[in-house]
Amino acid sequence: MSDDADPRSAALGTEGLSKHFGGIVAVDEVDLAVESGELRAIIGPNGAGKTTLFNVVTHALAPTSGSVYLDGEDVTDVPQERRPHLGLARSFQSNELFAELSVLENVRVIAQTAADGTFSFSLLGDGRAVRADEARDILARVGLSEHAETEAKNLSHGDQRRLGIAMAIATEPSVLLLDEPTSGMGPGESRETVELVQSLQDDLGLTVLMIEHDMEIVLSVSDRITVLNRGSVLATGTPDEIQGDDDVQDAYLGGVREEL
Amino acid sequence: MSTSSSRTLGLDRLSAGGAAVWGAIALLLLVALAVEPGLFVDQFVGGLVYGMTLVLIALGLSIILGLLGIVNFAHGALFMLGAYFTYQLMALWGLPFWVALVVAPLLVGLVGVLMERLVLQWLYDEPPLAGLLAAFGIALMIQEATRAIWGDTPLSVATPAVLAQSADLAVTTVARIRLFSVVVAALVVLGVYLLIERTDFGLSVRAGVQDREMAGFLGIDMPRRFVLMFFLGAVIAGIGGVLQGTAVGMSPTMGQQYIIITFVVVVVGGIGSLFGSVVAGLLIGEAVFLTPLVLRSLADVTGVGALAVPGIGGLVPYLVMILVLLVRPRGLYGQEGFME
Amino acid sequence: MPKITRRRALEGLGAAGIAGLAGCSSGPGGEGSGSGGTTTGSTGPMEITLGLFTPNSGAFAPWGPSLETGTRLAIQDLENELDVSVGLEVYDTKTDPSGALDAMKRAVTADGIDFAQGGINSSVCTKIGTWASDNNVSYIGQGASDSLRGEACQPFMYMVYQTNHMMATTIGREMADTTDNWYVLYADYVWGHNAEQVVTSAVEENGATVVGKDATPFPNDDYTQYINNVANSDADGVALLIPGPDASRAVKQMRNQGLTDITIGAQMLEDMVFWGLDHEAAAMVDIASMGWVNTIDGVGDFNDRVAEAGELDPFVRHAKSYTSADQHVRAAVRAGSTRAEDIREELEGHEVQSAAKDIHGGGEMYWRACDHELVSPVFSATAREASAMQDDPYKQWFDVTDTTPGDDVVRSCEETGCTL
Repeated sequence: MSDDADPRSAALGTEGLSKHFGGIVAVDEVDLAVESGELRAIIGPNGAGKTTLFNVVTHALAPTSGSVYLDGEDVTDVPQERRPHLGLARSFQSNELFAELSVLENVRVIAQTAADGTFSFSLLGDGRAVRADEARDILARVGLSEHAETEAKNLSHGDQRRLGIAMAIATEPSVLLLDEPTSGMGPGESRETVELVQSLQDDLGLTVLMIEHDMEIVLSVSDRITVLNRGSVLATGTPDEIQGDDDVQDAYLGGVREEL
Repeated sequence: MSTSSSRTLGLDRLSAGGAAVWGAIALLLLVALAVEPGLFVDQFVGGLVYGMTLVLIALGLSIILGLLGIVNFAHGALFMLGAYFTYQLMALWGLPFWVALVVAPLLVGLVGVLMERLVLQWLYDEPPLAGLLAAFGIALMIQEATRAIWGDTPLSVATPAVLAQSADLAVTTVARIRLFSVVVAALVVLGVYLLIERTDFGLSVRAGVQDREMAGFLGIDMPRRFVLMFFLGAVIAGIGGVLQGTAVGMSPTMGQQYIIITFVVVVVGGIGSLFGSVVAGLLIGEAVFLTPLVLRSLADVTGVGALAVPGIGGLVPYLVMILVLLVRPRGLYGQEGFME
Repeated sequence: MPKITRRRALEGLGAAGIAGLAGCSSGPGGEGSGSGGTTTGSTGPMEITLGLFTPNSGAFAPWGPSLETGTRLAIQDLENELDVSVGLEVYDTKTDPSGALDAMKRAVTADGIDFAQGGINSSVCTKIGTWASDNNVSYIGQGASDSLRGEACQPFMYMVYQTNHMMATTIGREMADTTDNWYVLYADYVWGHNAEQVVTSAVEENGATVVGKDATPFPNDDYTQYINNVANSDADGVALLIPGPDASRAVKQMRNQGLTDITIGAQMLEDMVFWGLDHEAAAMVDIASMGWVNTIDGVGDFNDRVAEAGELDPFVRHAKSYTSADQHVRAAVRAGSTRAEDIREELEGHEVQSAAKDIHGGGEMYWRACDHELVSPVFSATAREASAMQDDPYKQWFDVTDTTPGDDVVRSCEETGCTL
């Protein structure tokens, strides 16, 4: 079982994507074809190469071989600093926030960079006002309006994750990558976050690629699921297909269920 | 973990001992005000004026230190160049003061840009000592070049007629050139504040101050910002130089002389905090002007003549620094961990 | 810690041959005077190598070139008039006692200078003068500090600049004559504290009052708070007992602050420090005590010759350097020797009769034996109106108002604390 579609025509595609660290193969010939508007979960045991796959897709790490496509365009060699303009965004980790800027400013700095307006000196210029409004809209969307003026470092863990998502959205992406958006959250908070992700997907028409451990969440929200094992794709399919897949059961799901 | 208290002078943390210190200072000031009201007002205004001069010089240093992490020892030399360019423009080329006030700082800004492009930009990722030493070397080169070009003798320019007299402020008289300096300094402070806090550019700079690498990943062109901020820091030093040169005169040692007190201001204010530099400059200005008066009043009231230590004025900035650092090792508004 | 220097070694060869040996050992360019010559007469002109110590770098660097110009002018005159050939070696004191001392050691042991002169600030003079005396080298300095002719005096050290005490006493008297209530600003270091004591007592002895005083940091460029103190006092005069460049700043700031109708007195003023200022600020100085000023009657063509040399316009350091070289060489010629003992014998009690006396206006000048002070007149001067200040061919901004004979203001031998 695998992606049937052509990676070169998907919203986000990879073809033979590999990453080697010396002799260790962390990502091994991965082919993905995530369709526009799809919410795709990536699951797999610890060490399966999920985060490395994200890093290679976002070019935080250069791939050893293979290609990455966005809407059919080969973006494998686009350097890191031009990526925000491609429409591919990854949620910001808590150590990637500007700790002493306010929540609003964190979003604004991303929004203005996306709009290429960082050299604007005008105090009340239209562009700036629009971007500030835009930043407030995004904060409202993720439920952080009341914390707009709080310094990012003073937010709760869950709110920092939400801010990370808000910042990713501020780049106006078409594809959003989320690396365990609910980790460290209680059940209530996790549910809110999942609802947030779904609403973003629906309202903004985002394509979402999400690493997630919590199988309950994965099975309930994903359109399709890709299972990674030892760096390579073990299976891809709808939640039902994955649940019914014997290989996956043997290699992975059973173990996880025991853990849970 | 630092909380918002770092923005409120840490008053909430101050113990009863701290409150006693503030109370004692207020009491001493009241004694001085009661003993010599006229002089107190004169010195208070004088301290404000002097403090703003310090602010103007410290601001550029603070910007460059906060953003680039470079201890720009050459800042004093840039300040001095502002004064000597004024001399060149006014005394040698006969241009009016107002032209010098605009042109000299821009020239200093250019020198700053050259410094940054030719030398300092290569040292951002080196240990801080490398930048400090390089800047120190540049300071010496500028100073010796100044000697070679304009000579060793202290020089001055004629204060423009409209600023050459005193201004009557009802409660006291102040040299107009000084008052003008205060206005310019206040405008510069306001301008820097608006630029940093209220523009897109300023926001991207602040983001860069916090995490240069991250800002780079976002696609913010930090090197261009560094050049621009260095230019700005140098221009502000140049403005200080024009005003100081016009009010007092210039000599090749003025840079050296001022860089020390400027560091005191930045350290007292807290490294990385522009607002801190402003507060510290005013605090030290007032302390320098009011401490001798307070001591003398105290000596009058108590009859203990020894309290009126002669020549205490020169020591005051350092005493203020010691006091502040004892209570708050990071300075008034500094980031946690910078100095502790 | 006794050091065997080359000079000591030379001394060991015997006193009789010293003059000739000194000739032999004169610096680069010295013409050979015949080996083992014992008298100057038998081998043509007497050859002398003079070591000049001048601040060509450091805080007093602006003064540096003037010492050399003054010295060279004296050498020209001496060589014209006397059968003598004087070689000049110039050393940079860096305005720093230890730097100056290194230079002095090098000059004596490696370059073989016959005697030394120069040095402006008292700490440099003390350091090199003490070492020179310990090593039997005659030295004439230009420090004004009283200790140089007091507790720090040396058997072979002499000073040509009028003392701090003489200058302060003179200005104190003038101040008391001018107006009644004075405010004193003095530099917060030894020189300033001494001056303050002397001026205050001179003012009070002459019937006026010191209504307030402030020690000001050194160096300092913002005098606002002290000017505020003056303005809030009952003073109608302010005495500036602070170093020249700072004094010029203080005057400019008083003018900017509107304190223009107050009488300004300045102690030991060297007009050169005002030359970077505008005329109007300098014109505010009402009375000043000076060691020399280029408007003294009898200066003759000295001003023109200094101006021709082209570094600084003629001021006190030119005259004092001229006087040092003039007196030192003449003493050596009279003695027929450059030995420190012989020069001392010639200088002590000697009354100056040369051109050095003329450029000082012709008043009595003599070398006092008890402290090695060149007792000279002290000049009181006042700044000209801005419009009357001359800038070409050289600056003349101050006029002499009074000349006080040195004996009137010099400390008595007992007061100096020097036991020569």
